[in-house]
Amino acid sequence: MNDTVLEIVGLHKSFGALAVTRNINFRLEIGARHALIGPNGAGKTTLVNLITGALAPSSGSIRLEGRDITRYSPQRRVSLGLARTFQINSLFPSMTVVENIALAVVANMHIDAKLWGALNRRKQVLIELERLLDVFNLSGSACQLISNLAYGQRRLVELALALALKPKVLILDEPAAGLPKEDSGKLSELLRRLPADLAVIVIEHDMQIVFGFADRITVLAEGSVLTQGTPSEIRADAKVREVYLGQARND
Amino acid sequence: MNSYWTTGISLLIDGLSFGMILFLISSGLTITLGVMRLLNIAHCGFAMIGGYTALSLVNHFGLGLLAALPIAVAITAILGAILERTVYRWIYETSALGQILMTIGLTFIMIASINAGYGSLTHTLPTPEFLAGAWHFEEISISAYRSFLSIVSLTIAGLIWYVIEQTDFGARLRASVDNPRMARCVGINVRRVFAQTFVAGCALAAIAGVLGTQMLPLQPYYATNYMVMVLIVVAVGGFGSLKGSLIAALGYSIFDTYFRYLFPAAGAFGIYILLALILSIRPFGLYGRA
Amino acid sequence: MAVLKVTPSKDTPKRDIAASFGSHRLGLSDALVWALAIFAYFFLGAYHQLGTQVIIMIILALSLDLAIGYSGIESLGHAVFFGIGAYAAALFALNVLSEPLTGLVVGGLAAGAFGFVTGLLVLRVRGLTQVILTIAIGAVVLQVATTWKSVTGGDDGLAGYQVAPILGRYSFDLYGHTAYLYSLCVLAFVFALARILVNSPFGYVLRGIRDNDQRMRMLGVPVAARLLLIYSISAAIAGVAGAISAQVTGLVATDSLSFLLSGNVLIMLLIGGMGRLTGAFIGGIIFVIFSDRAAAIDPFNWLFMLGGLLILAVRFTPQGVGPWIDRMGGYLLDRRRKP
Repeated sequence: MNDTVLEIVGLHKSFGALAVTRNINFRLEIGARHALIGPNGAGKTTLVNLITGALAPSSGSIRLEGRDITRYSPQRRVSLGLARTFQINSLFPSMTVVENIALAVVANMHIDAKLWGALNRRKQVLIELERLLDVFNLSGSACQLISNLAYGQRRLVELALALALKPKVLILDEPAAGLPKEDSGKLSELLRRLPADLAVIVIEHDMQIVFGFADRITVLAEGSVLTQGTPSEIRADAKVREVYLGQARND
Repeated sequence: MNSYWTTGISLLIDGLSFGMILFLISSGLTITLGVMRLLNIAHCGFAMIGGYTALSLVNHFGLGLLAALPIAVAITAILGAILERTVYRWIYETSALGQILMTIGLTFIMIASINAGYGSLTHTLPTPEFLAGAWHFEEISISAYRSFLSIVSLTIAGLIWYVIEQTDFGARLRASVDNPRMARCVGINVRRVFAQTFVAGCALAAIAGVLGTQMLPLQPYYATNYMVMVLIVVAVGGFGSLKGSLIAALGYSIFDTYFRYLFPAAGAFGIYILLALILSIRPFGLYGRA
Repeated sequence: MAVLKVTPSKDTPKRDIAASFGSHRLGLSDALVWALAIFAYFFLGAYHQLGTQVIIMIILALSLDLAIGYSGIESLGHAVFFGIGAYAAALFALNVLSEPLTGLVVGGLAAGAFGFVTGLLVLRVRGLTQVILTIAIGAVVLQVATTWKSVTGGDDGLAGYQVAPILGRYSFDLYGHTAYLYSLCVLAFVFALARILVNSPFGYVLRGIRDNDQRMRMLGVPVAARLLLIYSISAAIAGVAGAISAQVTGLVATDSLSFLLSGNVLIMLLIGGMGRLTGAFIGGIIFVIFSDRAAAIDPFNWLFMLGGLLILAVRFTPQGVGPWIDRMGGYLLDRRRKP
């Protein structure tokens, strides 16, 4: 199929005798809204690390737009259009909001080795920055240092950085984690406005966000795919109820 | 026995004794690095202070080298303990670069103080009479003092090994080097273990400073001049690894002694090439971890 | 509902975005500093040589600031590049050409090339290991220079080379007038270069790497290559400083490679403040002048004072006196926003 952006075939990862990822297959089409859920220890983080290249799989392959990227470095995958956000704040603390986003813009425009021409006099960079600041409603805090920013706002900057990379596939690692309740509504709203042709994988515990956002859900348990389907199918699935939702209710 | 063997063995003793002196100085530094991630540039200063204290005891009180040794070591250890409680408290709290600068500052103070007290001339401590000269075995002549030095320092190295491997204190220290956070969690007072080790490290350096003046003569810039060599030993051995430091110190001095004998014109060049090679293959040292 | 991917507007962006970058801006303060430096030329009298020394150290400190302050490369062996630049320029003058500007280029290229090669090793690690590696490399080169007497003159140093008049016109005089203006011109050039560099996209990328190299990698930036580039540039600038020193003093000693010099430059940067360019100026001036005066009175007491000051300075003004002077002087120095 031509619309496939990301394709994962028979992905397997084991540490010694311990298999943490077992035979995972799935594909992502342009504009997909895919959620990855599962109880703690199901292997979501490992899977993300395999896709982004932080870990090398024991076997299986990952294709981005038909190109086999299984052996590519994380950095190369990013420049090919595979971006992610981080769960723990991972920004540039001694720089301002606008400078943070500018770094991603610079990386995306491949001008990171330009030794001259002041960054803040580059028209294209400024236009792009203005757009991103407007979209994320960050104009007011453009001059703020990241270290002075509230947690919720840092998550916005994190998202802005990822989008500045103009990715084809975006992996959102628990975007709502640590966000106050009133902000998670805003987050859902923001997620709905992501570019229509961007394929998104979201890992999230907040089921309201997952079911409101995803058009397809993959449930992981003990390193392998328990089931895949639309939100309503997942909701109706007895196995999922047992393994995941049931457990969540007991928590 | 032919003369190659004779020379070979006497060079080996030279290299061994020098290497053990290096090891005694390095041991304290590598533990400091391993446990506290503190690069203590002033470490060699403690060896220097030990050496000069012994010099005073010999010159003013007429003590022999071996009588002066324990007193000089004790005085250096006390000074180390005092500094550990005062200046080093500040040093622990700053950034890595700040720590380096502060310990450089401390080194400067040591150099200036020694110069004010003893002048800038070079001194060596007198060898005890019964260790002067050389022992002759058939055709091999071996410096008595160097042999004595090798035996004493090997004994000390054995003692260090015993303390670390066999005692309670050693177990706490090993735990603290391996994983300071975990050690703290299981109730080890890492700060205290470290303070004790720091003082012991100063004492070991002082022993080397007193006994090693033939190879490392006393002069005010002792503290900076020999520091680079000690740092290299520690880097090659790997931070926090006594075994690594021992192997690096011995390898360094024995290789260097032979190389200088075989290629006098090239000087210390050979050893540095070897070290550059080792560090480019293993940037974290022989026994180091990332 | 607005979609995030709007087509970029054709409008020019609002100016306040450009202004919200913490870039290094030229201001009245810079004009003042340079005016002062030229002014000083007429009043230094017997101290032109000291003035030249200050300028050379500022260039060296600037190069170190690019590595440590802007890129987080912790080097305690920057004297190596200074020394290699000095030896290269001296050997070039001795054996090839006595023209000084070519000599500067040769010194810079030699040091830059050495920076590139050692960078391959040094930049593989971070933190303390990196510091120790830079110290170790410094020791190796010092040893080579001491041993290789036929080329470097060993401990006696390298001398006896002639330096032709600059541009075939201005010859170096006994009082060091030409030397002062010459080094001042090079400093102006290097400073302009450094300013362009830190304000460029590359300059911001370096700051990003300093703050969080892992994340920079995850933005798709080849971090190792960028660090190698700045390390080579920094080494080349240090080499230029060394080359000037060789040309104006007519002597290269092994001191120029010493650990002590590496330490002193770091101290200058600490005094002036890192990651702000102007720190090199403040630190260089304060350090060289004070140490010259104090050393003239009593070298070892000076060392004692320096040691004490160093400990107190790190303890109580870890940012250096730069931000302090900013606050006091206001307009006297750049109004660079500082965290």
